[in-house]
Amino acid sequence: MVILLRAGGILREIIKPDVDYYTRRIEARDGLAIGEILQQVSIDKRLIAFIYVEGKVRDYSYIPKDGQTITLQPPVSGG
Amino acid sequence: MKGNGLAGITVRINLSTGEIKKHPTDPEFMREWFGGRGAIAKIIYDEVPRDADPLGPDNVFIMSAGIMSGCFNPAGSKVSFGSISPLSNGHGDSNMGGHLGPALKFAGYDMVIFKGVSAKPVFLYIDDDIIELRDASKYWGMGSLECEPLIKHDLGEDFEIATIGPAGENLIRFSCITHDFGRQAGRCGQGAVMGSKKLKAIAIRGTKSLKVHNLDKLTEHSRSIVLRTKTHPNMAPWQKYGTAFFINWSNENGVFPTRNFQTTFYENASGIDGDKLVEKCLITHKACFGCWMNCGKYTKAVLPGKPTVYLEGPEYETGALCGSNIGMTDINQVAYMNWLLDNQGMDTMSGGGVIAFGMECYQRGYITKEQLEGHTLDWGSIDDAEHFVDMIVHRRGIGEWFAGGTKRAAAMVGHGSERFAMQVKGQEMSGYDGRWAPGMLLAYMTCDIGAHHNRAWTITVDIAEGRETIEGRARVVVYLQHIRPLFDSLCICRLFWGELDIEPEEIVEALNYVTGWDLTVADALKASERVWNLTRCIYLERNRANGRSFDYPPARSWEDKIPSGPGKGKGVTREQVEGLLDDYYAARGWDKNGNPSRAVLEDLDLSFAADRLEKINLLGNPIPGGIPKVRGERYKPKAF
Amino acid sequence: MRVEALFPQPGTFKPRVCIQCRKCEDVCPEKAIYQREDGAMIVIKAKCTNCGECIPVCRPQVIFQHRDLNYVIICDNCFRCIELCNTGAISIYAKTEKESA
Repeated sequence: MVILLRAGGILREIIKPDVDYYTRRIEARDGLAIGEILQQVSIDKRLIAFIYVEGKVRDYSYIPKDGQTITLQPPVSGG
Repeated sequence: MKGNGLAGITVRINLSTGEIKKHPTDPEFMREWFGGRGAIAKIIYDEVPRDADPLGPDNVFIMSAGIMSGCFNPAGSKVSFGSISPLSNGHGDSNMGGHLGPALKFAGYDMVIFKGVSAKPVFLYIDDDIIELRDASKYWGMGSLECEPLIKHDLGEDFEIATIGPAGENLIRFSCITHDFGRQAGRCGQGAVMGSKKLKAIAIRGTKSLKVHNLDKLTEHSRSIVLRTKTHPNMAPWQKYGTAFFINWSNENGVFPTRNFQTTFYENASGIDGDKLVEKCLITHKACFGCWMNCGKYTKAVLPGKPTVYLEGPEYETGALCGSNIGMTDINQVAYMNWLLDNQGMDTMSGGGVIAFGMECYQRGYITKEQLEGHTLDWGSIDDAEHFVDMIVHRRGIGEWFAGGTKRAAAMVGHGSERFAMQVKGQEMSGYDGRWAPGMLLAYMTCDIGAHHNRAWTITVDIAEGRETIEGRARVVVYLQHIRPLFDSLCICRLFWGELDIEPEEIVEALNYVTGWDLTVADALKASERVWNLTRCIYLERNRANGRSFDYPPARSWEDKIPSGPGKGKGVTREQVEGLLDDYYAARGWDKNGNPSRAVLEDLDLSFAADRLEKINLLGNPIPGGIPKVRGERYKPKAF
Repeated sequence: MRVEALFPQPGTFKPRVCIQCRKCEDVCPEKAIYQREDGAMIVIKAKCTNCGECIPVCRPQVIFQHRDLNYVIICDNCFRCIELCNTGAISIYAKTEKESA
């Protein structure tokens, strides 16, 4: 399956966007959970505040469907 | 007709005599100091006697809408308030969003400078050309959130209003200013300064135009930024949760202040997080002037036995400092505390810190039930916290001790409690524990207004570079202390411009379209560095000792290792604290005593400040090897 | 358009847009307002005397005067607001035959 990974801020350069400024295209075996897919981009999970898939917060055990967009949210600095 | 983003008039008001004078805003002054925080610092430097009591007639109180507030750029919503801070006895500035800054500009004014003290409670009334001091006795004594609708009813719904609450009236040193039913200028006790001048509120209606230098280019630039950031990955969570969304991240990474920073992991974080806010309390999203993130959350708090109350929040800071830091378990409790402190007119950050300090003192038996008028002060008790707040606002009994913040309270409580008074320079810490994030600790130690995060926030850098090392942290903190306060001078919101991958070049481009100037990013950073050094000079001149002596965190920071959670066993050492300061001063061109050297002050066109420091023997020694040519370094994350 | 802010309670916002009811066109003494094909109410700036007669008849209160202009401002369907709105609060729809009649 193909999923699109999106991230801004400190995570943006880490995911190495190739589709547009924020988006990286990832091919992965069907049935893989987000945690396993993210190993392809060697991302330090401590820099992820949460994961957003189509308006819902998900955790690393969520199994995305083909074509879904997974947004990684870095922490920001409060207010 | 071309303009420059300035409304054109600066107002000076002498509250002792009632005299109101208008004179033209000096564009050269604004170019040098950028309005907002920068203008405030220079006016304080020039006009406030070095021994003036922050709560006395000789302190200024300045409201400045900066340059870009009200202009056709995104998030031009801010207004900065400033004076000598009653908490730190140094320069203090605090800003708020909402609609007040634009209203001031649309009425025709860039800045209002108050001096003196009014004999009777007054409020400032501005309706375009009309500026008056009006009698505020009918509002005096009312809560901030209670009196705003009353003033709107009396004057007109289209007036923008800012108020202080009873805490400000009673000169509680960490009092805030509230606007638009939930926006605050919270830090540095600006509410107390207004209260000391018997200034209860500010009411502004402005209907004039505001002219910029190149409206077409500004519109095009703004529109492209807005359309581009609409689909930014960070935008949707911001819109949905506001800043509350990363409470769980903070907790999972062991920086979440729990029970007065005793530990950094809270077992009940999921009861008070962004999801709970949206699920249980949210009424509507609320935006500030010209901003698409609508991060404001208008909510209600529903608790058995308490009236239902309406507020804006809780933001992250309040969620931490009035949540985990005082042991609250339910989002409605946090929201209620938020409302209570907003309405009384106390900063929720310092307020949460003071309550937490009180709770730890009670936990240890340093203060007793008798002293608390027969009440307990237990973690997580809304009734206890509410009663304690009441004692503080009205200065009853030991409430008097806490009315000045945790530093002054610790001096009264004794028992060595200053080791866990979580403050620097008299202002309480933001909602992040710095023991396992050395850059963040350094940010607190060196912040010009006390332990606040808005100048520098480095926790992701600490995680990426090493949470137990101090390598490279100082230069990053210095850079952040230049770029972030820039927003407080220009009076645009850092959350929009700083969290959506908008480059500093684009900010300066917008500034140039507004003003007609031709500044570069380096120019803007230098202007900001200039303000930073000026506020340091104000601090040294007022507090009369080497800068280093004021830059230490409370002893808990290096003596108490984190006892539980992901950070268990971790904590900076005393040697690292000293090392952080050494690196920081070297990065700034200050000497080992924390005093600015002549070389760096002259590089920033501040020779006059160097001369004054020299006269009181606080000018920094020359730096062997010279000062760094560029102070501060922007952090670039390494791809893994 | 105008946004009414209902605070402290109920704590919501009510945007008010031109409903293209044509009352302003009916009442204008200079015949300076007309309805365009797409439904938008257009002000002929040269004819408008800025008398303000149209303002009280506008039910959503979305006709504006400004001190720097000598004509009134009414929504002319430029649709910039829809492009910029970040929450999808504004949308357009085509009137059905029945509504237009």
